[in-house]
Amino acid sequence: MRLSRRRFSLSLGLLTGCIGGALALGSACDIDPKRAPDRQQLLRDVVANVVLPAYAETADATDALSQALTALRSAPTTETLAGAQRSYRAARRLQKSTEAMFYGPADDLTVTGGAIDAWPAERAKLDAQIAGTAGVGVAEVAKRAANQRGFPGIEHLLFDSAVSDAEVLARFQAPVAGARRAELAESLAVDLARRCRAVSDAFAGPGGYGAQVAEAGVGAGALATQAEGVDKLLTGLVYVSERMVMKKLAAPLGVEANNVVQPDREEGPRSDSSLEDLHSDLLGMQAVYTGQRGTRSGEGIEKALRAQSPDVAMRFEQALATAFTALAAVPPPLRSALTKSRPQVEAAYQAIRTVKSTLLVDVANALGSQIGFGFSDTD
Amino acid sequence: MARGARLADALSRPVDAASLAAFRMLLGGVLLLAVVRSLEKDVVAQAFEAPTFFFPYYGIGPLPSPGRLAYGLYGLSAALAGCLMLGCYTRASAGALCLVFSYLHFVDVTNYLNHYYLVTLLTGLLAVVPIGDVACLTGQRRHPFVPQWVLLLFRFQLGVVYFFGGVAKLEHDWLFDAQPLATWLAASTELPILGDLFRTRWAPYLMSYLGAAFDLTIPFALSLRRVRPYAYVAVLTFHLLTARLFQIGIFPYLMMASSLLFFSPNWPRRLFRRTTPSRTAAVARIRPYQLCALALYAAVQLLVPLRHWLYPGNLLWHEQGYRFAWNVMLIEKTGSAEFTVVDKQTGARSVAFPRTVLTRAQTKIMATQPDLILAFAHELARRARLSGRDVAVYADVIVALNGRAPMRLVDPTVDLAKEREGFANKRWILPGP
Repeated sequence: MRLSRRRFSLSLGLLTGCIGGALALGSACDIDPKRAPDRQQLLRDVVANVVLPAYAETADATDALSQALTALRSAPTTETLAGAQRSYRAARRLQKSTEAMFYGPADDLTVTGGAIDAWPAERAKLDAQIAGTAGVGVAEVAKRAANQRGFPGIEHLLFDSAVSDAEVLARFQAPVAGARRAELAESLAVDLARRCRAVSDAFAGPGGYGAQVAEAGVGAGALATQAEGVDKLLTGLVYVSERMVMKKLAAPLGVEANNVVQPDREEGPRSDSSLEDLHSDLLGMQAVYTGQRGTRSGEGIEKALRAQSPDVAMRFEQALATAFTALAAVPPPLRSALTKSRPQVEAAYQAIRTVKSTLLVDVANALGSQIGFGFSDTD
Repeated sequence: MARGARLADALSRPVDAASLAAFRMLLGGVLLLAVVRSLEKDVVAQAFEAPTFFFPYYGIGPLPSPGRLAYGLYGLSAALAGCLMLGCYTRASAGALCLVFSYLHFVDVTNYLNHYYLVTLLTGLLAVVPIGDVACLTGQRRHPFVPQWVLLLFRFQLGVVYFFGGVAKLEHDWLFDAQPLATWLAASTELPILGDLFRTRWAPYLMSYLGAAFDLTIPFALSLRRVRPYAYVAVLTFHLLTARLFQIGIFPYLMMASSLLFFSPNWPRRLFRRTTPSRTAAVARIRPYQLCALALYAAVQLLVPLRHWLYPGNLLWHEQGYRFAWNVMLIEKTGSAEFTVVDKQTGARSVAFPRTVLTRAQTKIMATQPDLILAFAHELARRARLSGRDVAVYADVIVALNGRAPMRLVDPTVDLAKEREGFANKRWILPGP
């Protein structure tokens, strides 16, 4: 017997109606927003309270650094050198906290040129620029390789942990070479400030990348679902944790090289800022996780994670707290701690390693995250 | 008449080749779109250019890396898919597409997806079985009919995908914990109406059970004329929903297109009000060797998905016999792996981070699949040998499966450099949940 078209349509309509009605009734009785909170608010809050301010403040701080280096160039004195060093450290702290948000424009070479924080610096080439006769203005600097620019380049000129600040100042005051050093430092700072501002601008605004993450799943942006937005936030956390473990601690500890210490692979060797950099990284992670940064607060990944698995949330918070404590227990600077306080450095390494694996394994599993390889399908 | 002869008669009965032509065109179209989408998503750079190491399939060995040549191969795939769609040298196009597509996706185990395997099978079948020449750009249009076994073969293949996909769901996590759907649906609450539904405690269970029931019954429902229209509505609903919810690429479209093969062989002619040609054109009677080949193919397709029963423990944990078995959407598995390389002569120990060798995607997949962990350990040992060192390799691998607390996947005291790959049970995989 053939089904008539009318009977088919009627049956189909009835079936759909029944299922729809049952689902609507059932869900109305049992909706539990705490079990699966709306991740839209989370995305909006993290972007508005953490990501955008972090990049904007970094850009402002690099502008301030640029001004401080202009002052140093015009009058190289103890005060202007100290001011430049302070500005460097302030900008550095902010920039390090953005490593937990390394995606979108921050990970786009057409925006950054890879020239914000490519370390270790090519020190010999920087010294050769000072000793040479070629121009060291902003235009020339912008053509240099990434690891002769950015924070590492400026650090090389402004600091030297092997000598006193007076001797560093003397280098700026030296005839000819001093002027070239000051001009190079200023040019590097202008170049850095431009790059950081470009990243901040690309994140900000209605069409910016921040809005695309915040409106994931509802806008017409690059991220089609909220899950992709949360993946993006988690990818940033995983990125910085991997970098801390592999590059910032394992490399100088020499764990990939029979535990032979390699101080030349430290992140901030001349300014002795390596430990502070690590601390700023953790602060950036904490801000994305909690949704709180400075006086701003809102929802963070914490809320979704706590709803999905309170145990995992507790494990991650514990891992993060242990990492802060272990890092604080390392006596600065890192270059001497690597040999004199190796157990403490190894404890910090293990603690941050736990943060990384908790993110990669527990947190990603609880949130069903793809973590950074959304180019590929699954099935 | 002997039973064998009656079977041969039934299998050789001529049927309209129109539905196979429609299937060929839709498959070509879906694959063409898949290639465009892959290029748009920069898959070539991330899956073929960036890796410095490709995980080989056991028994096949490492295939040559395509590198930037992959762009050309993707372009070739698009052209071949277009030829298939238009019916331009159909069998040659299907065969070439099968080879190129298979090479690209089997060059690295981490590229494996069930639906890529299905594409390999479908294009391979199109290359070797007679599918007529209806709506073909080339050919003389003298074959409007095909023997019935051809159509049945494709239906069987699709039925295997669905049915074993359903059988695989009859396991603890899916039925009793509604995992991994509970995790995945909680991440999709932005959807209108459904989003609220996903906030309920029972929705993941409902969808788990409906999903398993769908997979287990749909090939049979599509085979019954009376319920076929309802079944196809279910096919559309199911696949459109999964396409929206999960990042599963062309799979839903592939299945929606392929399932049309269950309809009457002349459905395209009825749809476009074309007359069915008279059945005067003869089709070749199935030959004994073809019958044997069909039986062998069917046996392989029925037995390979069941081979995991030869291994003790939880399949989702050890993944021995997991691939090529239609285990679709079963696991949310995350892991972290680090390796320690010990110089046997000096005793020097070094940590090896997979990320320094592998891409992020390779690292993520490798960290949860024991055979890939073994392959990577072997690669580390090989690299050490190149520098004249004889090393032992130990793996520290922590894995979480379907929302459970993480556990160690691999025995960290076993020197993986000494372990051989093979089909035998891998005793160094620790017991799972």
